[in-house]
Amino acid sequence: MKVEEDVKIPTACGRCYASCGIKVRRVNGVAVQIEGNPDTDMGARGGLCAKGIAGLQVLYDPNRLNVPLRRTNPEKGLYADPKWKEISWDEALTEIAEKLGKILKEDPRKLLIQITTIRPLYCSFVIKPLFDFGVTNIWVGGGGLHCGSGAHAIAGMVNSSWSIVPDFQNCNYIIYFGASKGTAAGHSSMVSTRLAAEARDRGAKFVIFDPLCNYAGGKATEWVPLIPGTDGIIALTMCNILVNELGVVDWVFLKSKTNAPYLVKEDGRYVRDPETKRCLVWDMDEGRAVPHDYKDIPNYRAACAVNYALEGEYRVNGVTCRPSFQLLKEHLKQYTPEKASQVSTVPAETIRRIANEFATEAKVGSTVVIDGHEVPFRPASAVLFRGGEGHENSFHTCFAVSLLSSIVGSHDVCGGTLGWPARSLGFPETGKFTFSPYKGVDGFLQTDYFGPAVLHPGKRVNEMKNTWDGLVGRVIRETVHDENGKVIVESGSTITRDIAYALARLPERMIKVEPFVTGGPWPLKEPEIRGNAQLKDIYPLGFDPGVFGASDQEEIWQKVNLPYRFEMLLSWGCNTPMSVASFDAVANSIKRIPFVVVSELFNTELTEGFADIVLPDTCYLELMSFSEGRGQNFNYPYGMDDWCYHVVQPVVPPKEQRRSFLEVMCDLLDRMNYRDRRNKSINDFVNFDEKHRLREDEEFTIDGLTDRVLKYWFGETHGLDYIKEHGFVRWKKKVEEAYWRYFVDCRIPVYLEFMVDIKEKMQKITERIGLSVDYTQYTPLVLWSPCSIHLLDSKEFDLYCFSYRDVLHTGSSTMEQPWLDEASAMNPYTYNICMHVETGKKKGLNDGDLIKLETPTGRSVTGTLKLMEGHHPQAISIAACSGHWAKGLPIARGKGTNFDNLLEIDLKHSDPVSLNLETAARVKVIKLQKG
Amino acid sequence: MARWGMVINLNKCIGCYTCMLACKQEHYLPPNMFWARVLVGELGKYPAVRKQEYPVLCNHCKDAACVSVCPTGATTKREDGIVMIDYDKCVGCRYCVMACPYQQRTFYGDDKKEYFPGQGFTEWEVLGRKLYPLEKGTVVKCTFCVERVDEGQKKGLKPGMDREATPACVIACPAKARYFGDLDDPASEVSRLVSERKASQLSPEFNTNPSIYYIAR
Amino acid sequence: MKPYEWMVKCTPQTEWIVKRGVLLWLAFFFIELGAGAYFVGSFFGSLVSMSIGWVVCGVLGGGLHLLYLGRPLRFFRMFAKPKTSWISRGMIFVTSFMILGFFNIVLRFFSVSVNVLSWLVIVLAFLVVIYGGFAMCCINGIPLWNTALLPILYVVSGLWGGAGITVGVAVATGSAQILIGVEEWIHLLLISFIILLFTYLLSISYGSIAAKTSVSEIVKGKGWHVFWVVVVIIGIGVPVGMMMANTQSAPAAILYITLLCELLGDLGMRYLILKFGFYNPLIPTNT
Repeated sequence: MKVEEDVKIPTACGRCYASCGIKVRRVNGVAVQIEGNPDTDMGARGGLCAKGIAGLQVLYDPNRLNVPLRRTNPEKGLYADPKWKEISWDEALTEIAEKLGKILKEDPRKLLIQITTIRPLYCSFVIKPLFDFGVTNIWVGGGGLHCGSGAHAIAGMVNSSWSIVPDFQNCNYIIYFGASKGTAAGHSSMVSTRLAAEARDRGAKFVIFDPLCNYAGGKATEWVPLIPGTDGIIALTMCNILVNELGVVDWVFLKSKTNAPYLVKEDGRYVRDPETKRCLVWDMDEGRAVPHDYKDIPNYRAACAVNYALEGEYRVNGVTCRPSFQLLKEHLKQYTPEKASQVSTVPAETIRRIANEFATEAKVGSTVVIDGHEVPFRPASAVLFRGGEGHENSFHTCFAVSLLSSIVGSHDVCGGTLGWPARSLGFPETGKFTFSPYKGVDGFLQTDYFGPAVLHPGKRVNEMKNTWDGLVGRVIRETVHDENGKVIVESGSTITRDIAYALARLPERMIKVEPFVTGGPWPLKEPEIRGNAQLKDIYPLGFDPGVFGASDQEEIWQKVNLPYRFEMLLSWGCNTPMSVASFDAVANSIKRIPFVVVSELFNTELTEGFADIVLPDTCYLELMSFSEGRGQNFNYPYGMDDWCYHVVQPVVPPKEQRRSFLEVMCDLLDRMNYRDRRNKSINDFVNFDEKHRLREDEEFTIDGLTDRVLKYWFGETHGLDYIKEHGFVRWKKKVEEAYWRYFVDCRIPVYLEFMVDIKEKMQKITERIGLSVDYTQYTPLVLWSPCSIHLLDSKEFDLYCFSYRDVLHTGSSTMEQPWLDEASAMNPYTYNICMHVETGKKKGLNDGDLIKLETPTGRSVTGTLKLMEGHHPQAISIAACSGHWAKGLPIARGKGTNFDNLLEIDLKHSDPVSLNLETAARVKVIKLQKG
Repeated sequence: MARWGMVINLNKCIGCYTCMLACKQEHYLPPNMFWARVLVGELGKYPAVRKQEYPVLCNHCKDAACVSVCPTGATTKREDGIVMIDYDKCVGCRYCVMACPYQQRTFYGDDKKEYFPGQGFTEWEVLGRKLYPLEKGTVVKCTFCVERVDEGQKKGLKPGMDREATPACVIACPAKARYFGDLDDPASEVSRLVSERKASQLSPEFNTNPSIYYIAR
Repeated sequence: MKPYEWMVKCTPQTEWIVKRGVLLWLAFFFIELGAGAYFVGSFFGSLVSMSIGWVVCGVLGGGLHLLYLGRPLRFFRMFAKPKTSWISRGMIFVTSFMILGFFNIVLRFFSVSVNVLSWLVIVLAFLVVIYGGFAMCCINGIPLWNTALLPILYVVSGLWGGAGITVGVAVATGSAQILIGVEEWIHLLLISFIILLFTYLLSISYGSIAAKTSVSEIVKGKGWHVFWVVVVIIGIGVPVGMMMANTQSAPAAILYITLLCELLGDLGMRYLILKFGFYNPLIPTNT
């Protein structure tokens, strides 16, 4: 046959939120092969993962949606038959524009937006205009509830980033607490795979705390099984051993980079200078108390010279006080290996030995010179993610693991625990994308850039003009003047709409306001009832609470007197009924919303059960999108790997009547006569200057806009033509960016002083409205707190059930690709429920038996059993998020087991601090049928 | 003349099945046909357990059993070590399928299987059959991407070093666990890995002398 | 077998027994049976037996073998590699046997006896009986097949079956002399078969895990019905019973039934050997 065309299109993958650079080969108009782009660091330098390759089967799946659909069966429910009717785009968008327009005019809070975690960088740009209208309610798929709250909060607070990862290139001792870096989908998954593999091969030791010896545990040098949710006590025990037994502590780090020297008085609060209100520390050289920023600490040498007290008792202004480290040190003593062993089942000796090894390998005090800069060298790292943090002790567990790195001083230095790139000195040619953590209130880390653009309102300080809506209701800690010196707002005032608008008009950076909560919680929002449907107004540390789908949703909203209810749900790529928690609870919450619009690739459990209108979306291979590369501290190559800004460009034109969500949103805004506001949003996102900004009524094509944006960001030579050929823009990472910790003078907490105030303020509110909150974890000292799954005293429900990431899958969307289905069937564990072999034998169970898992509240799932040696005997596990039933997903239907239905979704089963959902459940096993 | 071989580093491999699917993609293979696989198991008793993940494929053995048992001479071993099947000669007696102790050969008997059963062939499948036709009724297997190797060498590229001339499974691996090169050249990467890392063959007791070596965990 | 157990646990071969593989199972059976019938018939001058054997071997067996192929019309290519391939050799043997055997039968029919031809065809017939066993025996991946005892077992069973046909023919045509002669062969072959089968299975059971699995599946596992009922009771028990009783006075029907039992047993045994030919796991795992 004649080959008329054989080209390779460089673009970015869209099967998980790593967004690896790829090249797609197109022959005679058909996309035939996908490979990793070998020229980029954003990925495996030419390698890819199975999901990326199976992207072809997303493009060519005959079950793809092609035409807008309308539900004609008014009945909604998990297994309802929608009885679709095909409608025209015009009809669909006219109706949506009418209903959406009404909501935006009346009360934008009545719109609930749902987006998938798989491609947040794209959709965060698409929905940005809605945020600029004051839409505040966004529900991030299942991801936020499961993997987000605790981990992102702490990573934001400590590393100015979305999450943490070991510096694989230079680290020698790597501890995972329920993480799968390098063996699963996720942030920079293929970067991590590439780097972790190299680390393993050169002999780095991987100590994996995980109830399961598969994927992450499967690549361990030492696999340490433990009871789910007990990572916190192990981390705290290790901290205790480091501090109190071994005395291996990075004193320089603690003195110069943390609030360890901050003097704390009896009531747990900082001792502050009565006039300036600055936190005080005791300077050993001068023999007196000084403000925390008494000395500038611009680099490592200066940090070494800092000599603030970390221990002892002092009297300042008539008040007895001690450095917070002294309190921490004493507090840690209770965490003995024996106690930790009892709780977690990890042998005490093992914990002690690992702590010793970690201490030795951390090489506290050593340095290395990179590109002429001296940076500390700490080749020991401890990280956690989903498995460790998805519990009712999420915040403290994440903080405990973070504390390990704080004690040995390995945060964001060579070889240690890195955040995703948190500091950028800008693209060399244009200076764009400059952002950095800086010293904020009380000396703590604040940042002007966090995460995927405007995933959440009020997010980006640098472009805070466009976040003015998100400032409303916040308390500002500085007095702000306008250009003429006139006071706009006094320190300590609450920002009203007018003030926010005035602030928005200020030139950039005249004001430092924190982005949304996890970017740096200083100053934290004052707890107050302000009509936030997720309770984020009452819970200052609540990152992504699950109230949107909670079973106690209505009860909560009554208590906080929520002045509205949702009238519309706009969903992009989410499959909430099966990817969050209890099907019924989530289904009921969606059912209450009268108008549901979903832009999707397939008919899923969400669309079939609940959508009123379904819009056929383009997949990433049919799409032009420049916002995909905005995840600098979210999914960029970390350590000394280069900055790589990738652009998604279409390999084939959209088929049938598919239209990209971006195009649809632009059209909708136009129809609602909001072209000017739409253009303003885009201007703000891009941060166009006066010369380049879109005019109010300007029309554009996506291609044209892309070209304009790229040239603005990266210079005239890097427009669409450049991208069409290369696919991405690349520039070198500097040491001051990769290992920024000692290049920026700011501190992180080892003592959570803010908890004292928050607890007091929150208690007043929650007691008044009758909201039951367990305040045990609102303590300034990090603690171990058992979860309800640990406290349940039941021999009947004897197993801890949890789910884990399988490298073949992301969310619930990958079960539909036949190649991934073939690979899943070929894996002993992916579609099966796994249990320890002896536990199974004792229960009279064998491989292949059909079993049912049931929780104490009667929730259940069924599946096929696979017995394993590499499994904690008291646990039982399910991979990924399978168990589809939607008719629109014929390949996925009936494969695997869905874990999420076992989870309760309510306040009671959430971390009282971060509101992270408890993602493990106690179950009993019932044999249904012999295999 | 080179003797092509492969080294697979089990330390690096994460059992992600990318190699398996990259191969299927490269050759437009139909459903349920695999020229490369990943085998997964466990070794040891709790808690001293090691997950075993082995990518396996045709070993292009030096003394291939399949070559000697083939009655038509369809299966031959090239000078450069690649064991090839001439689809025009193969009668589909499947003696070679029996004879391979590694079971890496497949009989292509059903050409009607669709990836989306009952929904017809996708554009990809239709074009794939034209770009890389397989013959129904013959035996098929991994070819060390002989087209890439040969075409690449014509352009002066080095298999194992240059992507275009290297097998798809090798370049697709995100952990860079696979290496391809000339086993007869002591200076090549694969040769050095075999000797320095003491890489070993799978089931050497069959005496077929495989050209694929594994670096143990 | 679950997809994830493939070559991680012992894995049975499938191409030569499952679905179209049934044709090959039957093909080998008929080829060896037919050649055996020709062989035995030759020694006893039973032209009918020789003819039946020729038809069963070449037409039935050969035909089924060709039908089994993926591309039967290319069968002529299978003569290409007799140096290394037993199937190639087998093709040559069978084809030569068919051609020369046909001439021999025709000549004998017309009472022309060419000694050289006769002996050549007998040798070819023997080679046809044995080549299948060798083809399987040289597959060192399947321990159940990789033993010298297999070709011998097949030869014995092939000749035994062939002798059975000769007996059947003798009964049908009323040639008592042939009957007595062949009966002795049959008794010898039957005893040899029993000893061989027993020795074969026992010796294999000392081998690797695939070997042990093969034998255990045959004797105790999924194959036990076929083994004990078809192979042992029907295939061996009935003929042994007949042997111990006085066959000469038995009605023809009994003899035919015995013959049928023999053949069924043989067929069953070949089925078991094909069906439960396991490969050893490819990777080291807990078993």
